[in-house]
Amino acid sequence: MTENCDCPKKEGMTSIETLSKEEILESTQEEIALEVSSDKYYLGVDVGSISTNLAIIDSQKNLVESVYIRTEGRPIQSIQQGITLLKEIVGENFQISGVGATGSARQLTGLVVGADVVRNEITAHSLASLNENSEIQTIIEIGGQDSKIIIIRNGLPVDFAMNTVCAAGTGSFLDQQANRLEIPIEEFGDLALKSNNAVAIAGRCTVFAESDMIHKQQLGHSEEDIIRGLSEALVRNYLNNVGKGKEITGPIMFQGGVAANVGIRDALRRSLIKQNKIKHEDDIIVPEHYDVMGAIGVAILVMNKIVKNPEIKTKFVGWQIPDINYQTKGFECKGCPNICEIIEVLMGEKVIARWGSKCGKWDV
Amino acid sequence: MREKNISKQYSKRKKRVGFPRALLYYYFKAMWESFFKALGAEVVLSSPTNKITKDRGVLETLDDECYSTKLFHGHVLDLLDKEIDYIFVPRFASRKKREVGCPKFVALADILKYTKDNLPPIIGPHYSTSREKHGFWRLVKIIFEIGFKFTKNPLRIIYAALKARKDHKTAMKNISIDEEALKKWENSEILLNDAPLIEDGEKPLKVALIGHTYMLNDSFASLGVRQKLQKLGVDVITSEQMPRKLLERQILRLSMVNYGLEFSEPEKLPKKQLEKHLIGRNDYLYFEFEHEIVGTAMHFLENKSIDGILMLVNFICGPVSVSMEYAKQYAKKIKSETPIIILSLDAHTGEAGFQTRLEAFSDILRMKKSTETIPKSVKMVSGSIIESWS
Repeated sequence: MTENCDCPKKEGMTSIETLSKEEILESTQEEIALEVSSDKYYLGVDVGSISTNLAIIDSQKNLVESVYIRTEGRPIQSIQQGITLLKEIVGENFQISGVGATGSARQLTGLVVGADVVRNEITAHSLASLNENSEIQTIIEIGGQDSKIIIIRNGLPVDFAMNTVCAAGTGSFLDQQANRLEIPIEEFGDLALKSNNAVAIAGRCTVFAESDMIHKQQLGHSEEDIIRGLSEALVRNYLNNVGKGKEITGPIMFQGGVAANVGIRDALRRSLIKQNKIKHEDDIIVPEHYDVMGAIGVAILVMNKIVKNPEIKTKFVGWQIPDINYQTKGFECKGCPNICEIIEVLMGEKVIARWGSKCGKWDV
Repeated sequence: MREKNISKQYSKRKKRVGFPRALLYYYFKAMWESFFKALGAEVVLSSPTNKITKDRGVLETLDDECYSTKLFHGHVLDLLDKEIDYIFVPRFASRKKREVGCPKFVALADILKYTKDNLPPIIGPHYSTSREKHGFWRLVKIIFEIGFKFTKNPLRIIYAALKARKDHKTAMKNISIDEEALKKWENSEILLNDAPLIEDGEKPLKVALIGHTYMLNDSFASLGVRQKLQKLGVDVITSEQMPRKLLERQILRLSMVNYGLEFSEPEKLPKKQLEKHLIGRNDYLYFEFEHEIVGTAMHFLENKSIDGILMLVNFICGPVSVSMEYAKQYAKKIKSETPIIILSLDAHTGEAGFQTRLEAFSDILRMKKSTETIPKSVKMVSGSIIESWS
């Protein structure tokens, strides 16, 4: 698809706008698809605690291009890096008609890229999943530090839950254990599949898991069995905490970075079948772009907004984002005993936003 | 000479009574303030909850205390810096025949006595109608015992007590709205707060904000939930604003359901007969301050006029764990269609997670409300899109 997207043909755009309805109908279906898909593109940026995802969709909600990189605690740099990567693929003249930001750093992201829509991840994920498959009843999203469940009924999200204080039922739990075993996380899933006999491991907390794991290693259990045990522990933890009391029924959309792990996919399938939540293995769907669903969702949100109000001009800063010097400064306001932690965002020399105060006196 | 001057000044000065701005204060502030002021005392309040109050309170208390109790201790420490002569921490157990307040309230004064140094004398009257069968004369005794600390004139004490009673009644009346106003609000004829921020063509969402008075009125502890909801285009009714009679009716109904009595119309049952049924039953909701929480939840779970219910609970609160379960079970029992979200708060100041949940909740409510919803439009065209994905 990308080869069509090097440059939006300005002449083409205006010509299709001036065409009458009949004329459009006369031209072949394929041509319309090509022309329409080359007129407007929307960018979604999802900056979470672990990964930064960017996705470009066309006006048919097809994914045109996506980028998945690690945030590593530096959201602004990772946005700039992501934009650079995207620019290398699509070229500098690629026209973006709208930008959306989501993820836990959505406020900051919105400022850096100049977002037209800043929305929470729950809404973004529901939209992207419903776009993929309108029949789904449950969305299971397991990310790096966050995990969530969204219950969908009749094409509408009706219930959700997110993990609370602890990150035990998330990707970072696996990351920790992989480090301990000195096995690259990418190989974890395949190793788990090799095992036929999962070892029971306490998954409530990485601290418990570690001591449990060491005991099991000393007893002579094989590495594969332990890894499979860990996968099952994560799934159990997720279903008991985030999924507690929720009506999980199929079809289920499984997404987020952890969905890449075939061992977890397998453990989740088995566990849900055992609990009679789903009947067939096919009831769990892992979308093709499971890792950038949030970005796709917020891009769809922007598209909907702009299609509704076509006069809106995008606030997108442009492809020069990586060249702009963004800085954040933090200070404590001593104005009252609340001692708010104020964050100041600078674009070059100019302060573009401040937040964190309770009273609002620092707001720009 | 100098010492004499100071003591002279001291005796002329009004006696200062400190109220920790926490817990029961929020229920009885009108009563307490006017009583002590009428006695000639100066009322000193701790500062509104802030980061320092919180930090000091959390440091001071055991891990097992609820968040609001931790804040209470922070407020006491704040008061100790304010040169007070007395600190007012009543040992309040109950004021009704069966219902009790939170069991923690009774113990507060004694915990303070044994954990804080340089504490001024505590004014901590014990009042318990349910267990100790305290009644009118106990109240008279309390009033005079406190009164004589500040004045020698018994008439002034009586006047102060009567004024406190009157002011309390007025305050209670002003907080709650009547059933007529509630109907109007439910029909979207009136707003109860400042106009919520909404986009053109949208209607404000109506949400019931349920929680303890000391939680909802403390904007620090509740992470500014009201302002946040206002910015999300939500108009709230709080549980303390609900008409009292309606709440009591709901609680009676709940008890009746539990005893297998007729579900509706409790008014028709003679009051005496009802009392007979209720006394001695263990499963009666006997936490007084949970009545408004469960009652409000019940009303709006049945009533389809609002968009959603937001329940704010403070972490590790015992009574609320009971009322939360009552509300959940009731929702299941009547197969309620009103979305309900329960958020529990502790000593965290990072508001991002809280904000995300509020946003997602209001998004869900808005999608449910409007027919022009985004997911539906997605659904309409989804057929063609799925094909192009593969």
